[in-house]
Amino acid sequence: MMIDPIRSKWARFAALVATVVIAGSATTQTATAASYVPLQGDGSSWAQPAIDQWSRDVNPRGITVNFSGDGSAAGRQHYIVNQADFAASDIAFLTSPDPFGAGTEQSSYAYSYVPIVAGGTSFLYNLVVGGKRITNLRLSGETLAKIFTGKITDWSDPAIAHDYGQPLPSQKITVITRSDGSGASYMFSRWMWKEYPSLWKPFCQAQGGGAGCGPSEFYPGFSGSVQRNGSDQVASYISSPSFGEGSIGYDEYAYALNNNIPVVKVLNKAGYYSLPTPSNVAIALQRAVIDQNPSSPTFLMQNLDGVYTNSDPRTYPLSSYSYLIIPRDHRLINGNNAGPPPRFDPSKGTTLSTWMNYVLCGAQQKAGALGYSPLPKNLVVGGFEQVAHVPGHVATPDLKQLNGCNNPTYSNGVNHLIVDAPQPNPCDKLGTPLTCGAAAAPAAATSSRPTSGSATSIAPQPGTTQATTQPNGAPTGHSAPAVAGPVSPSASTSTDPETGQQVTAGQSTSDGTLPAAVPVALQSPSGSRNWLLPGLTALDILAAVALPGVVLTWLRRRRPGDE
Amino acid sequence: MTSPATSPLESFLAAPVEVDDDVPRPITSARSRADKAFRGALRSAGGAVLVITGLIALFLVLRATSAFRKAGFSFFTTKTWIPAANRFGISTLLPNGVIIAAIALVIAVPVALATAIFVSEYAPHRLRRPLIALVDLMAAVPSIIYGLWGVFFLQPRIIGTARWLSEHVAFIPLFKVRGFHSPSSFTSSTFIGGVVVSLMVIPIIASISREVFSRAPIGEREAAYALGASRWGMVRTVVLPYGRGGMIGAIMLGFGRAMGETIALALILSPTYGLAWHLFENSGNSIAVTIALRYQESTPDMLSALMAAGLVLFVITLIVNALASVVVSRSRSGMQTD
Amino acid sequence: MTDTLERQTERMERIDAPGIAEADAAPPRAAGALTRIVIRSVSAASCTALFGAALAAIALTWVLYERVLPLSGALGFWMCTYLAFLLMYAGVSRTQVPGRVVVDRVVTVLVASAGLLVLAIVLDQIGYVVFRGWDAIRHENFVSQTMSLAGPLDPLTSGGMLHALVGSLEQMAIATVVSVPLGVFAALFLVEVGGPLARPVRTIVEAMTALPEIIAGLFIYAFVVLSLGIDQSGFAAALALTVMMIPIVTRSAEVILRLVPGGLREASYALGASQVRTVFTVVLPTARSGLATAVILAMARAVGETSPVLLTAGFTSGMNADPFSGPQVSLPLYIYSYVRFPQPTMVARAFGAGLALMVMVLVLFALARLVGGKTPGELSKRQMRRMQRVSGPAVESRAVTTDPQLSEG
Repeated sequence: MMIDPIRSKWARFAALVATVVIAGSATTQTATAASYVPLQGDGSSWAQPAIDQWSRDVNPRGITVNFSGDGSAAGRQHYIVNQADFAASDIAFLTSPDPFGAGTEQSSYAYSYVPIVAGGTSFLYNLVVGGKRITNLRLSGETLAKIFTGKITDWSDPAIAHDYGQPLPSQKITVITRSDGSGASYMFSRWMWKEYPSLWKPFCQAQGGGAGCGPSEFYPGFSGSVQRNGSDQVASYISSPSFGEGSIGYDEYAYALNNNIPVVKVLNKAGYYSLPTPSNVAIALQRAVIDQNPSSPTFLMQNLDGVYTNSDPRTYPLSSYSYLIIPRDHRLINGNNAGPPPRFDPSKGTTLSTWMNYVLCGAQQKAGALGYSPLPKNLVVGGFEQVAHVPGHVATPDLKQLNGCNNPTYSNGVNHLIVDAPQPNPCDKLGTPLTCGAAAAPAAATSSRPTSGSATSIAPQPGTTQATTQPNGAPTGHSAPAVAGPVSPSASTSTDPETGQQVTAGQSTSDGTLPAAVPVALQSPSGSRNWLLPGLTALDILAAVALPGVVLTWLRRRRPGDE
Repeated sequence: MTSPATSPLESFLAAPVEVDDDVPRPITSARSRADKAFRGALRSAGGAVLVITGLIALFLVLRATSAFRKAGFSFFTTKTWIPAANRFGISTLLPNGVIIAAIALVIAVPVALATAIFVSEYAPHRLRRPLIALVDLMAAVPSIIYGLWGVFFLQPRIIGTARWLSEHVAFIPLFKVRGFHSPSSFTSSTFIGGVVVSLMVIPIIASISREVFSRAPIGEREAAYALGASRWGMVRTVVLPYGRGGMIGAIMLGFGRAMGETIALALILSPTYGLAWHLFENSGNSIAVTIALRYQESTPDMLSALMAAGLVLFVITLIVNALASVVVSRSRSGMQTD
Repeated sequence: MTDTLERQTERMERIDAPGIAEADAAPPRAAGALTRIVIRSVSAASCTALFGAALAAIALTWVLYERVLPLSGALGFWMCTYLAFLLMYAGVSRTQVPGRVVVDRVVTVLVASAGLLVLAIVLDQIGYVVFRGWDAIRHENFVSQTMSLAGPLDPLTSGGMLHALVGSLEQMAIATVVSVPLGVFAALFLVEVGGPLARPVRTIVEAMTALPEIIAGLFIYAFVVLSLGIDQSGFAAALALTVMMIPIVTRSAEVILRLVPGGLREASYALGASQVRTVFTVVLPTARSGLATAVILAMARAVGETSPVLLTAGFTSGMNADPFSGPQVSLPLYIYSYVRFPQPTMVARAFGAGLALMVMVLVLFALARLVGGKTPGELSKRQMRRMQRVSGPAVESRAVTTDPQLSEG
């Protein structure tokens, strides 16, 4: 019959579809054959480079960790609505409303906070003066706050010149901020809110943040700022060769390191300009107040007020810890005994805790290279206490000795990161001229190890000003022979001691001397160009071209019939 | 289409009745069991489509209503988007979307109409089919590709033009860029977004209007030529008036497409909440972009707010599309009596 | 939203009215011994005017723009050149032909340059994506590996887009398998069954073609993912694509089915065929080519869609061939995620995926052209031959003539 060929065609098509589907499901079977189940998490893009690296590290062991860095706010939200096995967030669930974001957040599933890494919220910038890229910009907190609240809009502003030590040419400051809810925005705005309330509050209120106007994960866009979605886009914009010039934005230090973007040295309370190096961050975070009560819901959460005012000269003031929010067996939330998110099962717990064992120990080895700072012992121990509450968890390393925990900061009970932290370069002291570094030898930051005796006794006393005079041991670190002239002694790629950047020789001007003709505006506004003479010439040429034709036509018109 | 069917049998024949103008003789025959099952299957497919699409509309409306109730009329007057504090509205999102669509149309309409005229009236016959395929291909290019192209190819190259315009034509307030200028002052602007969207709109307008132009009655064309019209004269007096309705409809459809564009704009714009009427400044946001960029961190309440904004966008595109189809069909039916 | 459909109808209607195209190509000729009025003529003089004006415009603009006036920039240069060219061409033509013809010539140049511009834009887009994407895609590993082991700092010789390719194909397949039968059956319902249900179905289908894609994604995210608790996955993404495709497929299928001549149906019924047999042996085969085109174009549309997928698919850098559990990345999402990175290698990967996506769309598009281009009843060469074999040589090339009126949806 006629219908048969059609039927058979449909049958063949159906068979084809079936084969494809079966083949697809077959590959799935093999893909998840390992005993671990894939984990899905999202959140902080601040910590994303580290989390991504750590999930790649465990991939060969059959552990799949899918992480998308869509911002801390998104991560917490996805945890609340049972859309993620874990979340990464730089801050705790909101207990007071965000002026530009969500209200208070309440997870109905049990959770615990585990610090995973420390780092510095750094200020990436792109400044080119006289064809050379500036990589040694240093700014005080107040100047930064003014830039990011729209009070300072020009790189030639005297406040910048004062901090930097040399005036910069007039150029617009393009402020790059995050448009999505991000921990970096929160950390930065919290610092401003605490340290420069007179700048942050009016700015926040002017942008519609309401009367209270605390720190916000949603940095408000203002005239002269460009908002970008995600840390990656912020870094992309700043590093863009075609329009990134004159821009400044905030991001985790990792984004600067990965992309060779210079970061601002920020003035700390001791009067030194410092970079978010692993040791500077670790030193600064010694003053962070950590919730020590294991039964508290905010166990291990940070209060950074002390960090901002840490008087150690090596402090990077915008240091903070980043956290994972992981499921917990149970917790009393609002009087209800809440369990882990329904999507989370013990097999996921096994995977997650295996990964966490790596994250808290061996993974910390890589933190420094990635642009972060490894965790100190007390947080690692606390973190394992939390991991022990994950349903289906595997055994954690011995909490007493942390034997078998390959954490780089500790060996034999000594925190090497703190003990070996180099004293700041005297040239970074407030008020030293920019040319200071040209005379002294720039030594590689990692090679300078002051004697441990002077450095272990830091534990600064609040209120004392002795910290500013502390760097007496610093010159010992600079034992390399002085090199005359502004040329850096480094090879083609080396670590710039001034900026912590991988630089290629000749590219940076970190030696302190700006190219000549600095105060001259680079691009003269085109309105001032002289149009008169060229205009007249152009008219002349046009007339010479057009006149013969016009005359010819006119003549022809006068003699009708000629055509 | 639906004829007053009284019995299932007549409705069974309704389609052929409509198609052929003849009056069919009534056929009476018992419907086989297979037929009944088949018709049942078709009906349930139709019903399923109705249910699915209706569900979307219903869901949108229901969720949006809760946001509307919370925000009240301030939904249309609030500039910011802070749903937690109950301060959210589309008073800048909607106009910004319209601004981008307007820029897109200003660029797309002349190019698209000229292309349509070229393809239907001027191009050599051999080139016609390839050209039509080209326009169709342009419509098939995914919008993420337009976004890539816009960010990496267009943006660095168009900064100079934007700068020149803003410095020399600054007496038009639209072109002004506040503050003093650096290349970064001209990035991520509604202008660049509009240019990229215009490329997506061109094929829509061009293809519909070309189709309408090519249907201009042959008799009138020949009459125009017979009266000594040049080709442009013929186009101006016959083709364009004939296709006017179709052109307007096509432009409206293009407007609807421009309003709904998301991903390319999400890559380009700087999503601040303010009226972006300085076209070259880095700013701009639209309802669709806000949904794409804000859904992740949204609590259920904030999602409702996004849905309310989405509903407004949907209703606007719906109205525009409905008007467009009315205009297009009117113009055709009106003209075909000539 | 409706461009697929518009393309669809446009294609059919173009073929419905073959007379216009022919008559248009050969301008009306005067009969008998009268002098023939030549409307489009290519004479040496007009050619000289055209090319001369172009050359002169470039030269003049170069002198003024680059040498005399303080201006710079490629775009400005070409715009000035174009303006100068138009003026000169008008001026030169004015010395040759009367004003009316000058206007005609200038308009010809204007509309032709619009066509050229569109051509240039399309070529530039394709060329640019090929140019930027070649860096990544020329490495064999780019199509055979995933990103599970490759970081942003790794060179292009590691990592790839295999997972996104698989995700794209699976999501497109699911969306097609769900939406095409549903859409075609709903269209059959509208055309073949009708009844009181038809009107609301048609109205709502037309309304939903206006649905912006992002809202389809938002709906699936809010309803399926958050309310029903189905995780972000390839399946959720496919559902979002389905929601987007159903109205498109239904509408274009309806338009095409409506073009099937009623006479064919009646002939089938007259032979005593049941309705189900009529539909499967007469209506669907007759409309096959048009339906295939509609389906393929809808697939091309779905595979390139980013915004619905962005909200529903989740993100993973590794292979997930199971669309029903876990996040699954598709090509557009891969591009959207990686193009935001500052590292040039990541951008190159995004462009490589863009190239792959472009190739997919082009293949589908070419397929649609190949299958389509025929009205219901119009036979392909192969079909013609077969029919001639069966019924002798005297078969007309258009076995069935269709009424242009029918194309009015």
